[in-house]
Amino acid sequence: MKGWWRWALPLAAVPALALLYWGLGQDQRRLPSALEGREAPAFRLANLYNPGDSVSLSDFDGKVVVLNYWASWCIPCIAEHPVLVRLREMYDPEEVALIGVLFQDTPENGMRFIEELGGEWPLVTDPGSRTAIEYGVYGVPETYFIGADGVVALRHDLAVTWDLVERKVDSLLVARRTGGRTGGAGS
Amino acid sequence: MRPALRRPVLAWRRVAFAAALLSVTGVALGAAPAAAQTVDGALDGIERPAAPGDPVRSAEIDQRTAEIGATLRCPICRQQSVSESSSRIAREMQDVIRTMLAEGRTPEEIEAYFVEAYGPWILLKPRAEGMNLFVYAGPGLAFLLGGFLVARRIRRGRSLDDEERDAATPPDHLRKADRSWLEAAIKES
Repeated sequence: MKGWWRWALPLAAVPALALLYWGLGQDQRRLPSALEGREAPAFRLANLYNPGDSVSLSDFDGKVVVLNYWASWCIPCIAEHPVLVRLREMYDPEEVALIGVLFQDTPENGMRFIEELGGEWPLVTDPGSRTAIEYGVYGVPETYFIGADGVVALRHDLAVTWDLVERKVDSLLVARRTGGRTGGAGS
Repeated sequence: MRPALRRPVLAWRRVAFAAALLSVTGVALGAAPAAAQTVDGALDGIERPAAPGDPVRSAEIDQRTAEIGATLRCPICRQQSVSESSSRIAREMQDVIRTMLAEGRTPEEIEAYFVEAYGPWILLKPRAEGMNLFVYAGPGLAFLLGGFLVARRIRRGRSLDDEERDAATPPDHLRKADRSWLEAAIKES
């Protein structure tokens, strides 16, 4: 028994130390999304330019959807905007939809931002951040990659890069063409 | 011996009585906010059900919003609850809670709604399930293990003391031999 105890205590400390090492290596600012691998919440939101018109997620059924939460006061949103413009130029709107949701900002500021930086995709407002809360948004920019089957494949909580967008959208397009199911993937 | 045996029974009766008294008081206190859901018809003394927008109902919803918000983590501040935080997202989350309460949703349903959107991280007090059980049971288990090890160490120390004491006293068989040798020597003399 004596020998057993001598080994048991240090051995018990090994997983605890490994857990501590793993925990310290994690970026505490980045949080997992509860939505990945689940169906994207439905929404119907007013058009930024014409509040009388609405845009809903179901309008894009059967398409890969890139849902981007943004704001004019958000500096990383300025940095990622060219990537979104390129996404819109490179992919067929019949296959890939890009929707911008203005987050905690005035429509006037949002419109001014788009006038300056450009952007030809549906832009909507989200009064009271109801949809943002339903999506579990922490802040902007946040981008959700939704498969053609309506399942959230990825939530990215920083400015998107072209590499990420291309890789993710391409894989979702392959799943769309082959009829494969969208699975959640960590950011 | 009998009186000594009856004392715990009496004590238990007192405890039971006190518990009953507390529960009755609790029910009475708990009923008070429920009664406040209806607005007293002021001078005519007739009670009417609370209508949407009644100040009493709003105050009650605000209080319940604050209670539920206190259990949820602010996504921006993270170390503060939704009720404590002055960030915009926290205020918007409070509005969602308020709306859901007005719709008749229970606190559990509201909590589940936020957990579904943000994951269990949004709860300031983690649920006692899965890996979280280690967090709840860990300190208790560590305390028990530590107590066991300390007790074992003390017992081991005592047995070592006994061994040392035994080693200091002359063994019995030598004393017996000495005694028999001495007895034989006396007889011979």
